[in-house]
Amino acid sequence: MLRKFSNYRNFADNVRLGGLTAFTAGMVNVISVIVFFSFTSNVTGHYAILAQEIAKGNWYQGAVVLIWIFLFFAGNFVSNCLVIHNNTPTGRYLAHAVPVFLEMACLMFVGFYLQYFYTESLQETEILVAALLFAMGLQNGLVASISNAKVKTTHLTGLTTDLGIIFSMFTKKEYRNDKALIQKAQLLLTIMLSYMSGGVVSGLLYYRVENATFLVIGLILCVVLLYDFSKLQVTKFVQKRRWQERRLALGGRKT
Amino acid sequence: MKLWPIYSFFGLLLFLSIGAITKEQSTETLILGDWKEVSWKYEKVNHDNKIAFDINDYQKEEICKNLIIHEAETWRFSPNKKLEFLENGKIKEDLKWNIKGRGHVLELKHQNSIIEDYQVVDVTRDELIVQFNFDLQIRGIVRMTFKRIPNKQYAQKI
Repeated sequence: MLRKFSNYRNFADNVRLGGLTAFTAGMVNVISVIVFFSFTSNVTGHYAILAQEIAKGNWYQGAVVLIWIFLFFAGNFVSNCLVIHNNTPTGRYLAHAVPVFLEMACLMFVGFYLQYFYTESLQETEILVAALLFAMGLQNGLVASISNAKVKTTHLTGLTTDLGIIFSMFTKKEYRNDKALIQKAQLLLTIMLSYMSGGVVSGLLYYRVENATFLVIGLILCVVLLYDFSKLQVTKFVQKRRWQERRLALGGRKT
Repeated sequence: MKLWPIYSFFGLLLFLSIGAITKEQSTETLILGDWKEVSWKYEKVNHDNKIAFDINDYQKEEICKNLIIHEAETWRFSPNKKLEFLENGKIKEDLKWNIKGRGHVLELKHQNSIIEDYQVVDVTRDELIVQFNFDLQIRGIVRMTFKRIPNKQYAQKI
């Protein structure tokens, strides 16, 4: 999911990455609405709210929303910086894994703070929402960057637009058998369904385990990290074994 | 391409935002004090324009009967997050209040752990407007308006 970059990624890589990250984005969004009454995985609504607050002259609330949008932007910025400045064969996995680590750290911080320190003040709410928006920015920036913008886990406006276009194309016979289009539709549907089910699961989980829901989100992100780590370990092991076999074969030929 | 104008623009926006947050008062601060209920009005309602938008005492009573909406004359928000409903100077009920979201949601937690949410439409030094959704015989949004009771005047009254 994380170790391949841009056009080297195949359909299955994108489906796995899109599905799992959209699931976590859906979970984060719903839990933030339940706890903080604010969306955190999408910023389209925040832009509308910002304009509304400016028009009403609510400078405090406008400033808060602007800083939230900035943090989502900062998350995307940091993610892509890490990806493009470490695009070497040896450092690629690490560069792609660091934003996920940072995202996990933000989510664990929010969960931990909610559990042990939260006094429900407005200032705390604003800071915790900011942390979640930064985390979602990190995730969205990472998946969009490494998948060549094919996967965007929190951008459901664009996704619904693309789905509408693809399904309208399927009304023509010549496009119905187009493999690339079919795969794109499958990928988008996977992201949409994962985002939805993440939201439902999060809503159900929160009423049972409350703030531990953040731990569950962290565990799903661990799967994203460890899946590729295990693959890399296997590849490393196979390469090492082949190299040893070749060395043995060369040694045998000499003797 | 010169990047400094873009970075400066973002820097300036951030600086102004931080300035606004430190200078302006948040909803949580503005809401503190005593508020006298002034009016209840339908903000939006599913009807065919035959009903007046002002809510009379009977309708108010009907809405309150089915929802946990408070019919107190005065709402007193204390800094310790305690909200008291007063009628003729006597406390009718006290509960916990919180401001959520970007300062646009007023959450009231009752002692029996029931939670109510109101949308804060506007809060200034003199006026507080909140909305709540109801689904009685007709669906709609009710706008409640409050006027601030200056501290001295309120002390004299009670």
